[in-house]
Amino acid sequence: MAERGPRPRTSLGLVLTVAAVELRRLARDHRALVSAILLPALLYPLLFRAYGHLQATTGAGTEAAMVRVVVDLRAANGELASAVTAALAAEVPIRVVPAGVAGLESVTERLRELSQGPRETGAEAGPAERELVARALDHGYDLILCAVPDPVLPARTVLRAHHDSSDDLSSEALIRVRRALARVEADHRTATLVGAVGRDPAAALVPAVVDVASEDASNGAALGRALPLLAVLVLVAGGAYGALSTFAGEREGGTLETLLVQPVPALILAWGKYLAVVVLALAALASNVGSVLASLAFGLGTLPGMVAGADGAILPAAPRLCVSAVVFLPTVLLVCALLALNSARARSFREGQQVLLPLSILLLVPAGIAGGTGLELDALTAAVPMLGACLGVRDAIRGSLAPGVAAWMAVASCGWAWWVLRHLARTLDAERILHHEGGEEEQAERRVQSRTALAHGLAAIAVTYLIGGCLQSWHAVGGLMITLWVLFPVLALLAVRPVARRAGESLRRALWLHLPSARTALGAVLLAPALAWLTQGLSSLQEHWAPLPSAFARGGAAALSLDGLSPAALLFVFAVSPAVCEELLFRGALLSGMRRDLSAGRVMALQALLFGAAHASIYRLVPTAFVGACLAGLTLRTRCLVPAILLHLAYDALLVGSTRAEWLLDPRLAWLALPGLALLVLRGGPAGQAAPAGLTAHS
Amino acid sequence: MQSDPPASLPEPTPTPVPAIRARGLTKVYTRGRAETVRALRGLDLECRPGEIYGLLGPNGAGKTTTLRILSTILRPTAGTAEVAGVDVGADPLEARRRIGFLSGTTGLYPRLTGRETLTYFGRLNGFSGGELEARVEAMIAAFDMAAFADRRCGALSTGQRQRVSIARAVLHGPEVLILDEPTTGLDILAAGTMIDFVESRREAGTCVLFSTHVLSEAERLCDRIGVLFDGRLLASGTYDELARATGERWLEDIFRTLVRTGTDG
Repeated sequence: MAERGPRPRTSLGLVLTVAAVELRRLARDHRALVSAILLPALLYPLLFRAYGHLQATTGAGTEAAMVRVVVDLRAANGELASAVTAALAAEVPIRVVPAGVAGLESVTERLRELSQGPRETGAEAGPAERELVARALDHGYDLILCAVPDPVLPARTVLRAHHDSSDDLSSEALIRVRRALARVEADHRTATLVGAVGRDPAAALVPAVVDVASEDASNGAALGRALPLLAVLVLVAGGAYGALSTFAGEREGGTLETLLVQPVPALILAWGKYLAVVVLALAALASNVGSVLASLAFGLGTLPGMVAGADGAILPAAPRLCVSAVVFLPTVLLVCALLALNSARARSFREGQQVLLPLSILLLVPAGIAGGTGLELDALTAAVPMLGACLGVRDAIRGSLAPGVAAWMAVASCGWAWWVLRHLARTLDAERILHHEGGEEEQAERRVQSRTALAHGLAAIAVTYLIGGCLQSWHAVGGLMITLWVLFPVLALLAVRPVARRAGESLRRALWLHLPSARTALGAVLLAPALAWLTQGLSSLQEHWAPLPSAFARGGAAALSLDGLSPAALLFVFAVSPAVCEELLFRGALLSGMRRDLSAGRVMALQALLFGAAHASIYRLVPTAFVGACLAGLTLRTRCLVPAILLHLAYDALLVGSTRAEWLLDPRLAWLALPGLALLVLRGGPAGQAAPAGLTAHS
Repeated sequence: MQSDPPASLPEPTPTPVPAIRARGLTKVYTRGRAETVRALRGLDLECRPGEIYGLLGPNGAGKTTTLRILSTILRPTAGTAEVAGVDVGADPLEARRRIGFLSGTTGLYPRLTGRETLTYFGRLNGFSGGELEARVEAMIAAFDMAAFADRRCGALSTGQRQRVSIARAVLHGPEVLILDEPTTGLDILAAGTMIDFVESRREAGTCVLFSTHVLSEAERLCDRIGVLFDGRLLASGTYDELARATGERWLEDIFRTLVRTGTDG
């Protein structure tokens, strides 16, 4: 009788066996390893070196370049003209050329005349003046400085500096002229005051600035802003390759079935593969971050805000860097778990890559927030995945990390990672993976449509943050209108077209865009006061753990009383536009995909998350998410998009109107929800609308 | 590959109970939300140790589902299945220790060598140290893999990869071999190697349950044949028994008659 092998090894032994084999496979993919680990380690020093050289060359070039300034100070008094001329001459290197010598006396005379003439409100110069200056500067001069009578007080003289800001030398000339004139102004003021009162009374008000921050602390602050974002970026890039290869790649290669029939629990296999992903991610992280730190340490370059200390050191002390590495470790576990989960659910390498971009954005946004804002690490922010860890790294490098909060942050990150890993083990269920190989049934099982909708939702959030944020910082109202009426419809179209095509529906049908009954429409509108009342209550509750800063409250109130906007315009901007465009995207396009695979509860939960996140404010997260869930529920209930648009519009209109008429938010109006609900519950269903596949039956 | 049963192959532990026993095996798939598919409808199956049992049936008959349930990949909706006396539902890990599974779509890790592959799966089956090394070397010798055992599987020919796959499946000395269309995609020579290997298992006392579309393989190899159609076992027996029952001479005609009878019935 053949001797049967010993009983299976310990779980840890099996996990390590699986991890070792996975790492061996990964290590033998030389091209991927070189691009993920080795190449970046070489590129950072080159990048720093090249950037530093470019900066030095450009700065030195501009600062050392000779600039030619044409001056015509005939309209100024002799004393002023002499002081200005002397000050300009002291700005080396500069060549001061009198207008007569330059042959531009007629030009400066004409400029003087034009300066007295009428100009458009707010314009510094008219078109004729601009053209005249441009032609004059083409003669090889960088700036024309003219003394002209003050149009308001002709007895007084003012100086006009004509330059071309698109030209580097012209801009440098302006800098030097300003510097020279500032010295003249300071000297003149001091002399006048001393002459009048015997001294400069303001001299005592100029403080002597004493910065107690050491170079070490300053450098730590600068590094703490940049390093978390870099670390997350590298972690995602390095970990993604490992995760895709060990999970999705195994299924694609046909080896997963063989693995799942071995006498090893799926959980052990998942842990072993996950461990390999973590090791690879850590290797990529160490390589990249180490390269950056080494480049800084060897003076190959600096980050903005960093200066070398007296001993030439630029990096914070090694213990702080070590502490930041330890603080970041739970986040490494979480990110790798998310990457592994994404890859385990994918059927192929390529499919896993498709979800990588929105996942990466989701992970990078908190890192960007941590580095760019003055957010503090406290009990609340420490519990937020990614954000807490990035703030912890920042504080650790700065040397201001509180041990208690750091411990809580580590526990929270580990908790999140554990929660994700529980799902990871389930994804290696052989029955789920293997019994539907392709085809419609697997698509349904794998919830492809809802996952795609979620990916589109995350992309919409990223677009709102990045593009919408830039547009609105350029122009508040204009940017908001472009975001709502251009970006959102485009995103909606991109999201709903594949859903409609797959279902063989028109876009209108896929969006549930048809007229509701009058009863349904009225019922939806009547819910608005109750919704406003509930959200106010939620905002009050949220105040307890995330108080709304007064500046934020003032800003919000100010936005609703924008100067120059009529009440009708305000309603259009802050009620009609969001109602139509946001509903088209969220409850129209995104919900259309989600409802094909998911239960009503899950759809509402996802809609709440996406809607809340899209409004880009943690202070409004809970009430906004609640609104999103309600609107989603209404859409699902009525199987029509228009009631949600009407409710959204009425809700926003109440908020806008309440800035002028507080009674609109009277809690008693919330009772209107009762007849509203009655109209919605007792309504007949819209004619001709088939039940969406599986929405009510799915558990 | 050696044509005689290699003496160095680990012998399975003999068991007095049927090697495979399935009672009332049922499998229902849910397609989407409203539609269900009954892949198996109360299948009863029994295979003896050292027997080669072939499952024949058209596409969608339930062959793969049967094999996957017996190899613990899928869970039955109803019924029971035992492999070497172990209930696959109650103790799937123990059942897997007694099974060697191979399908036509089974792949190998392209960046691992044949030796590394065998070592890996040996470890997953609980072997280690000197015993594992001995088994791996025995497999390499038994399947004549010495020339390419240390080459990466991605660089091997189809026939070489097939030998590695077979070695992997029998490394731990399983009492039952479950093969799901093992000759799919293989050329004549490679298919011949597989057939020789299956035949060699009879002498070793291993029960082999395999599915195939190739009737000639079933005629040549099988001690008994089961004809599966629409999730039901229409008939099971030796070639002669089936021929007498249907009045047909050739297996193809036997198969058609049984399917027709099953459809009409």
